[in-house]
Amino acid sequence: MAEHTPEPFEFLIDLYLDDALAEAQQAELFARLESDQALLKRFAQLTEFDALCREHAGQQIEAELARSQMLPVYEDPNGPEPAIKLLRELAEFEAGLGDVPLVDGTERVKQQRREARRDKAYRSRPIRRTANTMHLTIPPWLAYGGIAAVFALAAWFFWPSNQAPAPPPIANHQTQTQPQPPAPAPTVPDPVATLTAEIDAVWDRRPGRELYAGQPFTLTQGFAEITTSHGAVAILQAPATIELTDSPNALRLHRGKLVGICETESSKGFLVRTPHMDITDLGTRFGVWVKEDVSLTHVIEGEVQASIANATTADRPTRLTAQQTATVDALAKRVMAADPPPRHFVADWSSIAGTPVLEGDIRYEPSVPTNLSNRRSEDEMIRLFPERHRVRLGQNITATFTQPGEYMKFPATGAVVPAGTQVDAYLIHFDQPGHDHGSLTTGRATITFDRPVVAVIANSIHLDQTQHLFALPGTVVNENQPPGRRTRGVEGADNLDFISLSDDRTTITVALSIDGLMDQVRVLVEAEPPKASSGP
Amino acid sequence: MSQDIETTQRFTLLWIKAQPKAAAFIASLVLDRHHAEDLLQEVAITAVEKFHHYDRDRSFDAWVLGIARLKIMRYFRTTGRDRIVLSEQTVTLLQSEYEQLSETRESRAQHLSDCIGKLPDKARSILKRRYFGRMAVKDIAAEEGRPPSTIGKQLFMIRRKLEQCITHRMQAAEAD
Repeated sequence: MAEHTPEPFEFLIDLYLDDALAEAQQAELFARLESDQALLKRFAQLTEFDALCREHAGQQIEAELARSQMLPVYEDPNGPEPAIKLLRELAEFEAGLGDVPLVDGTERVKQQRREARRDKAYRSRPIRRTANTMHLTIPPWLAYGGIAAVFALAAWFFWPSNQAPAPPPIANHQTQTQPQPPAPAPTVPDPVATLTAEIDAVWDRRPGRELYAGQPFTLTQGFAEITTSHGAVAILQAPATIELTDSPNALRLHRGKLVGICETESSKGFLVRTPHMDITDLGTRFGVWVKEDVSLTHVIEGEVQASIANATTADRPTRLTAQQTATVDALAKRVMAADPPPRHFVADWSSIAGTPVLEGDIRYEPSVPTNLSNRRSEDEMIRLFPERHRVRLGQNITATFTQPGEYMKFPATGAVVPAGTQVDAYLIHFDQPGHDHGSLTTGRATITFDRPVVAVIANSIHLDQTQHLFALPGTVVNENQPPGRRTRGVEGADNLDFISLSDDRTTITVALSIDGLMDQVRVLVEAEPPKASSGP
Repeated sequence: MSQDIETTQRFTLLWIKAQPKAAAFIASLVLDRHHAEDLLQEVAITAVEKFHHYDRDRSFDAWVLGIARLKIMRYFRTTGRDRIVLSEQTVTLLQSEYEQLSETRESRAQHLSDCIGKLPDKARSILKRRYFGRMAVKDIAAEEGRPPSTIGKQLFMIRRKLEQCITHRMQAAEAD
């Protein structure tokens, strides 16, 4: 089983704020808060800022009401004492409430005001407390509401004869949202898939690059990657027999193992049929294993829907989420929970090829494109490319940082990597998807190397200065900009990028955001030692 | 003006400023919104009841945050058997951090609106649904047709972008 990788602290807090922390993660978060006051300070900053955003939401709603000329008017012919009147006027303005005549009496305006009041009130759950021998039933809006509510609370206490207004009616104000059904798959002419990569692959009958429906082939050795016309990726592990179907986003697995990877919107709904089970992707990464008369599926990440093969409408599909495993009981003809397979499926190419282990929005590509200047990806994935290996530095170079830690600023001052150091270089590259111009695109990934990271180069100046040392021959990046001033690093003034290097120096976590340009980070790891000679 | 009126006004004006800070402090440790609301009510009531004990030479915000800390700890004691909670010492330290943050809260709030306006449309749309519409991340993800983890990551970025924007604006204001 894979070791648990600690989440960078700031991500844990964000998951906490979004109420998406698993229990183990919350335990980790709180343990770190207990032991590190600097982290506690950061926790305070982020949680307080989250509250500020929530509060701003209320103000925004009020501002929208004000803009639409629906401000209430306070009318009191007798007029209370001036100071109190001022407070009450402010209160009426802030809460948009009251038993106050409306300027515009239309139902629409009334409704909007009611909604604004509900928003302020959140809900009504009076509690009973004893104070000054009186029983006070304090509705929650007194604590949450604006000036009027507080005034009422204080007045209630200090002037016991006063009556607090009744709490406003509360309606269920939750926004109900329904996921959009996936768009119907367009008809795509053959071929229905492409053989996109191989490692040590041996076939019983070698397929061409383009793959057509109705062709079964058997991979007898190695690994192969097939990409459907809709972009779903299937990594086959030998021995395996597959057959493509007429569908541009489906295949049959007759035997063996595959990992399905569906990380683009168009690939969602990828269907793997086995003799016993149909597995439909719901946006995820999952493994399927067919062995003799058993089929098994294991969800690595995300969610799938599994049903028995040739299911009727009476057979309800089973939803499986991350780390759940299911098989089909041939006798009962139903999907059943099962133990995970003893040997996990390959997660992606990196785990096959012996390259760094990747998690998150990242894909390993064994060959770097020659021109990265205007590259537009088809998806929102970060890429990891290998660069030159076993480079011995002839002189000192400047990297952006060399020490473990969490970094959000990447100044040009940097840190020195001494001459004589021998390193392997990798390039992390993130560019704007081709379909998405100018909007914010974000990605996050963890990369674990089997050797220590020596340095991280994330500033554009440092990237340019080290380009001739580490880039593969012919690789071009933003050649229309002058060297040393190319916009490729992560150092921008209003940048959101985040990089951490673990204490043992083997794991890098990056969180990158781009809104038109690219982000690149070069990672230098200790060079892989030369393989031992097998003889004299 | 009678003493009652004066006391009422004084409390009202102080509480209006302190209330969002107490709400934020409670919400940082009590994620269940309903429970957090209940605790804030209790803080408000205690603040009213004990207002005559309040020392005018001290910060009212700090006094209210102290009440909130006590309410949070009592809440932890009653529910802590079923959940992971922080120690009293850590909650006290967190309260100190919130006291410091309260000093700049108003100015940061002033910059927040402008900074939201600087965000790309897509980011603003997500932010609006998360905070203005109070939608859960998974609901936004369902609307967007994306995994919740993707929306969570985008929110991470958006929050950091806003935070940095506010910091830059405050630094610029100080320089002026």
